[in-house]
Amino acid sequence: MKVLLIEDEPDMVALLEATLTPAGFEVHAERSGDAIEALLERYDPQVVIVDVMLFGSRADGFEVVERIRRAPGHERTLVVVLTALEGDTYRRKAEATGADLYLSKPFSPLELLGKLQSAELLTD
Amino acid sequence: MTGEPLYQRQLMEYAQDLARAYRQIRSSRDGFLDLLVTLVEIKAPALKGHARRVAFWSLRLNDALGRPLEPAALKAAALAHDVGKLGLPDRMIASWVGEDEEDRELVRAHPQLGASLLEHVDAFTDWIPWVRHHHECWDGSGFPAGLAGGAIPLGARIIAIANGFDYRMHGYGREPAHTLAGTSAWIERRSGICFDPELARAFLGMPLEALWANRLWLEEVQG
Repeated sequence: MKVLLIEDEPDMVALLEATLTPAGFEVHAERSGDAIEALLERYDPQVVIVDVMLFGSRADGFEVVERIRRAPGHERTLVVVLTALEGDTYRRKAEATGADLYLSKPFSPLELLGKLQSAELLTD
Repeated sequence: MTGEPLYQRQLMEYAQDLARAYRQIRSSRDGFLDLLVTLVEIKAPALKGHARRVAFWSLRLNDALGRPLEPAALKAAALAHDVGKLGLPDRMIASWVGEDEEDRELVRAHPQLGASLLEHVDAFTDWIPWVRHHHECWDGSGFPAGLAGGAIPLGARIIAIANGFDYRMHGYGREPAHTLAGTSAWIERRSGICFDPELARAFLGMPLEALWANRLWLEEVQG
């Protein structure tokens, strides 16, 4: 199962790769979601994990999620929003933009793996 | 925004999840072994408590030998040693010994069948040979492989004595229950034939009467 990870923090990328790769996921990490449509085309992921706060990018995570949902063929791609921001406002915003799962950092890796593995069953 | 304090908090979350996952794995393993023991006991009520008692005596013998084997692995193998009996026809469960050659073949196949069932679980790999070979004899006359002496894995040699001891003490199949003195004499007679002589000596050197009388041990092996 292919995972597109959009995260600008190298430590967090390393941690997520170390979590997901041994669990059998093929991870493609990108620092910016500005060209999200091209990334979807290139990797054709079943899951996109996107950090809300992307420094050096024009598009924030919420905008990236909206664009994923508009991209043909990605209406049902599992979208996970990662954020250091806490609070219901952001959670509601993530849900309104079409994200499937909203995780506040620090997040539980077991919860993330559990959700991804459930999604994997649904795509089988 | 994802500076060091947040990254450190994230690492702490990983450490907590690791501990949680470890607890879950351990409790799943114990639960699975309990399930296996219970399945065998449902199919063969005469075996009620047998696996747990074999685990108890195996652990005591391992202690007497200076703990050459990891206790958790030995306990698991002892609990699971008879799981292959699930594959025996019901008519043979109570009597254990079969009526004809075909039945005896099935009896001889049960350790191998048990090992094959357990091979579905990667975490059990290390101790599955102890299940497969727990009916081997020191002189090579056992089954399923006819291994002899030190070629029989130590865990299997330990379980063999614990298993034999419990069957004699409780009685099973056509065999009545025996006294502790009678069972000890039986082990001694079979030392060097069925049982590893060194292990038989160590087993008989344990305070068997006190251990036998102390019913608290059931709690230990059931915990």
